[in-house]
Amino acid sequence: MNKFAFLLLTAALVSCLAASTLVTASEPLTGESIARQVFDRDRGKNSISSATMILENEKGDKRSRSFTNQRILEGGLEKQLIRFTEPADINGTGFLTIEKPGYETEQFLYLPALRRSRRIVSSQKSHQFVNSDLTYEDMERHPIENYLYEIKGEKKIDATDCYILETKPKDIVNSQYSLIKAYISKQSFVALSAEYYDKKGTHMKTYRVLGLEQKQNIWTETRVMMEDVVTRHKTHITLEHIEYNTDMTSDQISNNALEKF
Amino acid sequence: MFQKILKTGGVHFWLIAFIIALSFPVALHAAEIVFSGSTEFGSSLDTDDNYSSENLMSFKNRTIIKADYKQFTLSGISDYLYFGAEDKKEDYDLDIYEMYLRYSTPSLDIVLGKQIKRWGKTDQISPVNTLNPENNTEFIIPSYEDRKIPVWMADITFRKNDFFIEGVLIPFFEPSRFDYFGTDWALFSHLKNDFKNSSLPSFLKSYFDSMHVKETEPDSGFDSFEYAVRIGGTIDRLDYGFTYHYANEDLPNFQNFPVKNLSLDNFGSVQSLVSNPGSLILTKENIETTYLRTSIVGFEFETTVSDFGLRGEAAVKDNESFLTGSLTSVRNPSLFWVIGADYLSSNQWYFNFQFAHQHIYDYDPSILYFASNTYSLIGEIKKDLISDWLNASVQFTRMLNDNSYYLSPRLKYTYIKNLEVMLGLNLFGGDADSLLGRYDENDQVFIKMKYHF
Repeated sequence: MNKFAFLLLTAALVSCLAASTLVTASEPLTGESIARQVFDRDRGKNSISSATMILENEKGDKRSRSFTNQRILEGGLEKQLIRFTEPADINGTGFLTIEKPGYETEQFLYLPALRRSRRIVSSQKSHQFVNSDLTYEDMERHPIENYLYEIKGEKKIDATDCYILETKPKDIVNSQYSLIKAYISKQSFVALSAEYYDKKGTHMKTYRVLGLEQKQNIWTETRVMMEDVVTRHKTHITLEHIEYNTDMTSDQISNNALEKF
Repeated sequence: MFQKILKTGGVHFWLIAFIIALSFPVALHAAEIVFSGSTEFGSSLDTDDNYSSENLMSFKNRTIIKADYKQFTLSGISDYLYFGAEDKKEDYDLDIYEMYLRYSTPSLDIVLGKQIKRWGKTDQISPVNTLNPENNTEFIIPSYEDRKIPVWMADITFRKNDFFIEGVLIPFFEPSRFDYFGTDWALFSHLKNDFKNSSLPSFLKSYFDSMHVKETEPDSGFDSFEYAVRIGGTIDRLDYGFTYHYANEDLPNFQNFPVKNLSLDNFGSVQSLVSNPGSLILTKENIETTYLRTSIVGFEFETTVSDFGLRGEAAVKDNESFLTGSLTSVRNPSLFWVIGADYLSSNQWYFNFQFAHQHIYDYDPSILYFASNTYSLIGEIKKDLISDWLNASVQFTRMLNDNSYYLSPRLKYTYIKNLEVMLGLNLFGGDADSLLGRYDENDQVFIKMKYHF
């Protein structure tokens, strides 16, 4: 679910480092080194996937959305194109994210009714993405040097041994969060769970990986859930299909491609 | 009314589907054809009964069915519009909407066929978006995008990194659509019916009732082709484009009006036409219109600054037709530019404001509705009230010269899958000689339902 790497992984992930230095066995285990392992784990040079997003309110009412995602990594920077396919009233709506050096992003939205893409403001990171429980900040990668990491112990999540990793943004970072407490699998270096705390230290959201499989020898989250613990609103994402390391080219994830619907 | 709904929403809906199915040469590969579309029902009721000829209600149904097969797209449209009252009018169109073939490589895009091509960056109004004409039979009530009419064109775009160059050829002329007589939005409103209902002498009633419009469209052939080119790209976070369009004007140039010696400041009423009857000369000529050539040079840009999206456009026309008080047109060069910004607050308030300025060079004071410099403010304020399925918005246009306005508060409900329901008001205000004020008596409440499939 590399595709949601952008969605969740990055969120929970706690890490997202600019550097891609692998930690060796001889190096001391630190919060930063775990974060780097999360960031650097193999996610393929590109991926094409399809998934379903279900929004569930506190009463249990559900609304479903399906989408495809194309992701490519070039020169250490990612480009992603999400295209909604269901329901019919949002069919064709596209969202393009292009990382720039420093992990700042350019974002474009394509609405079929407008027949053109719009460059949209990417600085409003706390806004919800398509009314889900994910924010634009959750979907971005961030320079590792902008965060402080601390190992707070170990815990089993669904019988999997995990590190408890706390991540705090440095003062220079404009973040909606003051703390992210993540549970990182020792085996796969996937964030299996994470708790998000706002500026006042209040627990806002909880992220859970409900399905984790190896696809083409790449650890892939196949079912994830983000819950707003205040409103009890939930966002479920289920991966339908994913293919890594395709013959996709960078041109396929571009503003031009975004407008081709 | 129910018969009309059944007719437009039922029989014609399936007729379109049938035509598409028949005309699709690859029907044997039906499994690979992707069908989609929408059907929209809308109705409006005037808030006031101002005069006898007025359309007190309207009803419309627009159904579009689209079929995609690989790089080929075909869609059909069933479009019905009814204005009800003493001066009734009904219009129905069943047609191919878009039909085009696309060939794409990473650096080259070729799209051939009937299509809508959007140029420009600004919202609701776009000076450089000149390739497709508009359907103005309901003035600006439908959304800007819904008013655009597909035309046959060849569109070729070459891209290299952040740079592109695009060429467009439009071989067949297609004018903008509007009514001359007989609706609240018609150019001459209900003039004929108003004359019938007036106490004027019968020969005058008969004269205006027999008034005829003779339209002359550009000859078919190479001489009438439209050509356009667009060059643009991205520098840092700035998207820009330069455009040139050698066009036929989409709106008519009035070359003759049968009533001579007119000197009006508006033309929507009997009173305005016969206010000085002694000086009028009535001829047996027709209203004669034609469509003339113009060259349009444009510029567009879009960027983001801090939390704001910024976009703008400018277009210079070497000649543009403007209607005068004699109900004939003059042609003047013009400049039209728009600049705007939008902002989304953290609590989901959306603001979009645009400032527009039109300058008419060598201004003729007899030009109706436009000053030498016409300024306007166009915008939208929107707020999600409940999640993303109930939102309230206000769209507006205010002409700053004469304070005439269009204001449309709306509620949009989208909780039911694939269904949009919109309830709102269309309000106009201002003096009768102002562009928006002339529709002052057309205030209406409306409901619109659109189902996507």
